[in-house]
Amino acid sequence: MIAFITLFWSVSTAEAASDQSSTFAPEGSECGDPQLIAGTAGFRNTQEAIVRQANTYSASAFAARHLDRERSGDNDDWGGRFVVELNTTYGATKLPVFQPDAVNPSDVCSAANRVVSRGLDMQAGNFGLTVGKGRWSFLLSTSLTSAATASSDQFSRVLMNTVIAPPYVVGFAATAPLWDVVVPGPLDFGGVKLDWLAGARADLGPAQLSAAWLGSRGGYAQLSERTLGAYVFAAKSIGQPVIWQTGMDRFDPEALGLDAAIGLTSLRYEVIPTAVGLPSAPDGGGLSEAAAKASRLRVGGLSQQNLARVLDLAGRYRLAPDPAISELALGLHTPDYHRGRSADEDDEDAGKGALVSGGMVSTPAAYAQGLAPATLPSARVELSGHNEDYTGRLAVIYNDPEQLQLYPFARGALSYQLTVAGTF
Amino acid sequence: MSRPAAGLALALTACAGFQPVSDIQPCLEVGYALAAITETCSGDRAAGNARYQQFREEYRCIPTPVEPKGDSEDAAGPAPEDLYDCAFAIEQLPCELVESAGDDLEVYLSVSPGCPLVAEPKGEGAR
Repeated sequence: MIAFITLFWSVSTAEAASDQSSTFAPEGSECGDPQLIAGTAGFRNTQEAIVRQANTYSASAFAARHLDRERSGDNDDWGGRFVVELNTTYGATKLPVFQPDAVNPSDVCSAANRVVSRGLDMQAGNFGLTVGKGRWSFLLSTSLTSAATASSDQFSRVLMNTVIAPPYVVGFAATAPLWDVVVPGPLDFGGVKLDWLAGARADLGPAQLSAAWLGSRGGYAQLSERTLGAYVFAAKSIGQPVIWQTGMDRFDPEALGLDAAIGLTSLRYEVIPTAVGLPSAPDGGGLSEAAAKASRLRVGGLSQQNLARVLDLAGRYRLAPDPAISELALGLHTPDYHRGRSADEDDEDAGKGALVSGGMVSTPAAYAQGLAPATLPSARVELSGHNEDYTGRLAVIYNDPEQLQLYPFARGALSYQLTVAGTF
Repeated sequence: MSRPAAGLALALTACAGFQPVSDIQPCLEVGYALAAITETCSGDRAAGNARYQQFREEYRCIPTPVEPKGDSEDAAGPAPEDLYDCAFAIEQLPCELVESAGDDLEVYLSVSPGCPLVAEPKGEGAR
């Protein structure tokens, strides 16, 4: 079935983009489908981007982020919450590709365009649902991640990423349990990855405990506490390394009778498996033991949101590999833009408005990925709003630390993230 | 179109689909492959970075124009995509060989006939 999805995806999106490409592509750039050139840093980065994206936007990470830390009701009636999210990144990495002649003989692919550098665009869709009554809730979270070389002209690229691909991404993600699960292996180059989890959440009073089965044959568990927002979650699938995080999510000082002007405090420590191995490694296709250990990214972060109601401060420190400050950012927003975990749902002003933030991000030398050390400017613009039942948020980010943690080989990458949530 | 939407559209269309590669890209990829195989076998990113720096210090990159200048196949030389064979061959080296070669770059750059086409020792001078 996954072959059908991949084929359907490839043919449908490629056809649509191809039709546009003939119209808008510059003279001499009407080439055939690009073929990746093995042995290049861009080829390795592409493999790594696929694995990193599948881990970051996995069904388990999405459940931990969006379904499991919000206040669950102790309601006598059936009710629930859904969340849909779409993430798109333009240019997660650049890679040299070979472009053969196009199928259509009237299309011209000039010699200068045989080997070019193309961007890698990434899409991720997630769907989450909780339905429950009393202290128990059913939990469903799904994910679909995909990657494709950028269309040859700008118009087709924007059309692909904003109009054509999103319905496929969200549609297949929302129905993921109906399809075969696909998890990226260390040298897997498939374009589409699907996963889902289903389980239950129990409200234990001061804490919530969730446990779920992963479609990729594994387990997921999260324990979160109400007052501080302390949490720990871990997920493990067969053949995949453990992904885990711990921290404190949007601690509200008012919960302890402190001044609300302090704002919401979040702390985070996470371990993320990153690199993929070369075929020459001792285990014949993965990483050497030393390299596998070194490839686990360990990051600690602190953020203070709604400081004096309008200010955000964020810092992140990369503990390993290459310890260094990896983020310092300052943001300004409309009053009480960030909504606390236990925000009063009758407070109509909280969680609405706009945010603009900027800062710097440092990235270490990583010549295996074709990267010299760099300090990059970062920027983030967000718009958010809600009514009684639904919330919506659009974020556009450029060289954002969150983005560079995911795709450390990205330079000048632009992403947008659209989230819609509702209660019923 | 509203002003924010127009700004977003402008930002998105600013991301070009593809660009020409540098004429020393195949050579740079050799350095990146040396860093990658060193890092993979040792688990030490610093050692990989040092191997790349050593390559850039000891070898000169030979520019390889992407667009062939001659009409015949012989005059055109190797196809541009084939110039990446050196990087590919280095990336495929077994770790036993990497460990025994150490920092002797000549060993690494002898694994493919494509290597002399993209990089040469600085002592040999310009071609």
